[in-house]
Amino acid sequence: MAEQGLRELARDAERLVPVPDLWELERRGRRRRAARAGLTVAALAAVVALGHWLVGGPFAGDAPLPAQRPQPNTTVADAGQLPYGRSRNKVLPPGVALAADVTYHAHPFGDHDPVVVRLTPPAASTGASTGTWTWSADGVVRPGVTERAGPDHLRLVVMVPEIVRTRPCSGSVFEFWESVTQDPLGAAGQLSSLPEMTLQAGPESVVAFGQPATHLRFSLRRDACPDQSPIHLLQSADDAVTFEVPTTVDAWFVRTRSGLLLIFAEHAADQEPQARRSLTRLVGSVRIDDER
Amino acid sequence: MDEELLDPRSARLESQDVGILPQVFAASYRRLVVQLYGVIGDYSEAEDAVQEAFVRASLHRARFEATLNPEAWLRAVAINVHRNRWRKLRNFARIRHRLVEAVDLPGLGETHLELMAALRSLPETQREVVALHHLVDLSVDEVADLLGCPTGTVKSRLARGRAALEAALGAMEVGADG
Repeated sequence: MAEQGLRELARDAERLVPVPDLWELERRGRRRRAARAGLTVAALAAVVALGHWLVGGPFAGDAPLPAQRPQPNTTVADAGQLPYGRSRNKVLPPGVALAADVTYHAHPFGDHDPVVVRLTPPAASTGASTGTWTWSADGVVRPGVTERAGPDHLRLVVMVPEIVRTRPCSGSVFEFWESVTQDPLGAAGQLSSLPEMTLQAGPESVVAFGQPATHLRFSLRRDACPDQSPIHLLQSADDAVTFEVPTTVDAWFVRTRSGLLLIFAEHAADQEPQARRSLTRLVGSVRIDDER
Repeated sequence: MDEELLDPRSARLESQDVGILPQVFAASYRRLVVQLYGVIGDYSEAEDAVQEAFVRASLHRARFEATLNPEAWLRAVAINVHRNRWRKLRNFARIRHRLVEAVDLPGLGETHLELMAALRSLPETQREVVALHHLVDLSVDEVADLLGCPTGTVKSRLARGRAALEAALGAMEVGADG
């Protein structure tokens, strides 16, 4: 009975399958592979640049140290709209004041429209050129704050993820990676399957930022990597995202017209409620412009 | 005529030797999706795997065109795509069922939906051989060759899978009657 049913299924179901455009399939496949090739080229360029820097850089003479070099004027504070620059070491008013709205264009790899995201970052946050906002848990803006969350910093990142590192502890960028699938649930699965992370919640389907999304929360342990080095998890067309451990991350994958958008909010378990509130307010301020 | 020429697909067909891929796509795409649907148990994933197989055929056109049986090549690639993807996601798979139900082919009749539900209830190894033998119509030897396992293993999985499938369908009938 079942064998006959399977033969009938094969016969009847075929006519129900919609046929996509072959050339569109091919274009999508080529784009994915181009993203991989782009990463390899970028890595090669980074190695060459590093070699050049070591030979002719700060060790060769009186070139400025990285922390002293001019930073791109990309933060809200540096743009002159706010009283707190990234290197003034001032204490923020209670509650960590929020700045004006900013609009960030998250660019997918290749010839696609950017995903437009609007949000209201804390006044003293740093970053933004790569969709990363970092600020201190205690409201103090310290010199040399990196675009990486640490024990006393919070971070929000908006990105179109292209590459997920399958061996996040490995220093090599030439291997151990795969393209991020465009399905939010599948992408969440790619992240959750990494051995270095502990899944704390989800993945679950939610509505976030006015869009259907997949949310998960994970933590990265201090001993995740043998040498406790930063963990390299994700790569967008613009930048790689690394994590200092230990940390906890809430991540939302949202499917948009231009590609899969990832928003993650990073925080430590023992942070002050006030700092957490500033992160919650920032997440709550995020809006995605996605006219379908 | 002018409109046809402005269509990038038409332009491409005229400017390049596209080989046999479009013909194979037209003849085999739907059949392969249904076959993978049976093997995987999820229409959406079957569609993904088959589309990825065609992308690889396009990227490795010379190798693809040299094969004696392009449809068999595509089927093998699609099955490998699915297996590799699933292997990477096996941790996630443990919790995946809590989030989403498997996707069925839209428009499928009730009898076929019940059959797919029964097929999905089988262990993956049994479902693979049952679908490849009865739905794809491969011989036991061909299934063994495709999956890279001994013929005896295929036969035993097939026997167990058929029994389990009949039992699952029987249970569904009892449930519907009761």
